[in-house]
Amino acid sequence: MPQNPQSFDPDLVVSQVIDGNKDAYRLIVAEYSLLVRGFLSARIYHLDDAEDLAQETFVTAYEKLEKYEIGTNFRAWLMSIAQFLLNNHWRKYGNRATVMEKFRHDIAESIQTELKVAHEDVDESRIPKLLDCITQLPDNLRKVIRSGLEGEKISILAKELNLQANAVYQLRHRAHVALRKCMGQTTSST
Amino acid sequence: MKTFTTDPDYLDILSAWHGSPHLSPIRRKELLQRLGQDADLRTAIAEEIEMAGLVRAAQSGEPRWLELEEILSSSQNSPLSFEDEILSQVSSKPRMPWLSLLTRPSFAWLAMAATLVFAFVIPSEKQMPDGVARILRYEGSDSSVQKDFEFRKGEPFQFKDGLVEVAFQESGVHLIGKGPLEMTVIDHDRLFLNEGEIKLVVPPQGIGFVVDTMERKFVDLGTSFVVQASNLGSRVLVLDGEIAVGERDGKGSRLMTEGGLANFNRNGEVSPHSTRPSGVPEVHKDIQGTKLGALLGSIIGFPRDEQIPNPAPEESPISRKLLPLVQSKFSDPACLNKLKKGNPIRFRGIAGTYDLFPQRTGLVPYSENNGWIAWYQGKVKAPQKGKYRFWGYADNNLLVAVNGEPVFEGSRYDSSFRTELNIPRNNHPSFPCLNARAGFASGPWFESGDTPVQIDLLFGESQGNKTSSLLLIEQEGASYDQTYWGQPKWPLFATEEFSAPEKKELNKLKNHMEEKIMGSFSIPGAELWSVVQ
Repeated sequence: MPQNPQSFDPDLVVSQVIDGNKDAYRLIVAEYSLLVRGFLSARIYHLDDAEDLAQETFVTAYEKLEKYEIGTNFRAWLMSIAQFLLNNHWRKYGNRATVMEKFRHDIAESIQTELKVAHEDVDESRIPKLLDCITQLPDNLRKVIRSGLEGEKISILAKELNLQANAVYQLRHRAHVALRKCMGQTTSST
Repeated sequence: MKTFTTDPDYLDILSAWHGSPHLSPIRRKELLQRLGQDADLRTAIAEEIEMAGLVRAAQSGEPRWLELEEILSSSQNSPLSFEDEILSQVSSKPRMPWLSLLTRPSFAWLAMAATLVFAFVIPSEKQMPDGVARILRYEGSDSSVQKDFEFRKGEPFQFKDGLVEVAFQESGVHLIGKGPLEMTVIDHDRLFLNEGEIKLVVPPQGIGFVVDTMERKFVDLGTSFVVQASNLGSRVLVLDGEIAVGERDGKGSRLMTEGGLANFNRNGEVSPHSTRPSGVPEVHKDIQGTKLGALLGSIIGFPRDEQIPNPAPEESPISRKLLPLVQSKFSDPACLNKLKKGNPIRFRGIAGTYDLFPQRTGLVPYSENNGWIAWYQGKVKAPQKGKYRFWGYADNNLLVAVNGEPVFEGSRYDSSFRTELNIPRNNHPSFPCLNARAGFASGPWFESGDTPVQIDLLFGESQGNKTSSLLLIEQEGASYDQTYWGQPKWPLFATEEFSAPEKKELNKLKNHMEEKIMGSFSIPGAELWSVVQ
């Protein structure tokens, strides 16, 4: 993780990398990794695919680093690469997607603007707190959050918690609200 | 701001987003309409999805980004001077011996190939920075091949025997070449294959990678494929995805998709290609009738004139029809009542193609468009007490349950077993197989002790008659031989010993897989499971 996220200056690091300090790029990766991975994990169902695209984002950004204009917005530049690769991913695999995968894509298309806003609201300097915040959740909320990884079935979790599946989504929503609060962010919906 | 947590639309959208297996087309349309009309709902969904993604990423641990690590570790210099550094490294390395080519009897042919390489594809000297690909691994006896050798643009390469693995920089393309092989690395996204066999696995950033042969150029569109070239012509087999095949003069091109196989003779004419898209041989095993100690089953399909009401376009009707059977833990076969059954069959392992299976098992005539499934069931006992897991894949449907609980699902993406049941499954793209982009799949470990377990095995086709599959089993802690490229040769899951002719056919299939597909298996000996009557 970055040594001091509060003072992280991407432009300074980018200059160092372009000047020949290749290792400095690791600071960029450490600073923005979770942001990029989170962005892609929110938009791609299979976690492995999201992780592959996240790596590709950082590789592409590294290769194109010279094209980044110092003094502009590095995060926006990086995320535009992730978005571009995401679009390519969909172009490539969209025609092989199942009905439900296509439906998920349709949902994403419908809420594209709102997703963009929601992502811009994520403050990368607060992301490192996220894991701590998860550990502070009450047991039932933490269990629901931990089940968010691929492969965990909502139906099994619901059975385990003796709840209806919809109640699990409601709990997850409550957990998200609590996490945002813990991370010091606000939410527009409740 | 509105509260949506009790709104059924909100909950259904989230449920779909997080992997709910099914919503009717009407419901999906309703939800999209609602999303289009309700800005608050869109915001609430977006916030929930964004946070879920972040939480998911945070909990999935530190990623192992080997490609990025390789780039950052490859030199201490900046991207600007990276190529210069490679240039200096490569120029000090011994070059591959061009002169040895001149001593070969195929000199005339090679000279023609080289002329083509230079005439058509190698950029001018001024545009040729070096270090475009590197040898990651070599297994063979040719001492001229060295690990970590960096290819410059236009670098010729040959070796006599064994297997070589080459990674192309920038494009991320992985090549596995089998000796004897002669090729020329043109650039990070192009090579000329003079002679031999190569398999390419092309990641998304490598789309557009070109393989030239004397007869054709093959342009990857996101896939893995095998190209062979010899003095008789060239041949391509698309393992997955899609490629474009173009004329050498740049005129015309056609698409080939997974399973496609084409031969091009030296005159550039397309030879009649295989009618079997999988390219995998069919193994003729004795499957008919009942026998003491056999795992028995039956083949099921829709009657020939059966109309399936409004089938979803990408779903397999037969697997959807059998979902209640799986969901009832195989205790309620009512869903089979109106289906047609073939003759009694015995389980003899699953390996190879099954294009004639419905004919051989008496299901024909049946509704070919809606597929068939073989259901085997019985009590079986493991060869040894321990933990086991299944490996394999199927085009299209494959599911194994132990004591009613599914422990393996290796179906293709269009099977309802895969889309509807959410059975835990790990995909292994590094163990490539014929019809699955995801490679071999594996299931979770399960225990099998002294007490026999009830096994239910479903395997079959979604539509048509091009079926292939492989079902293997691994015991925890057991050691297995591996292929050159590191794939363990797990044994076929089987309950009866194979006869000598069957073993011969299975070995033929295994050799075919190892040579053409980079997959493998072993024929079980002591690993046979026994059927308890």
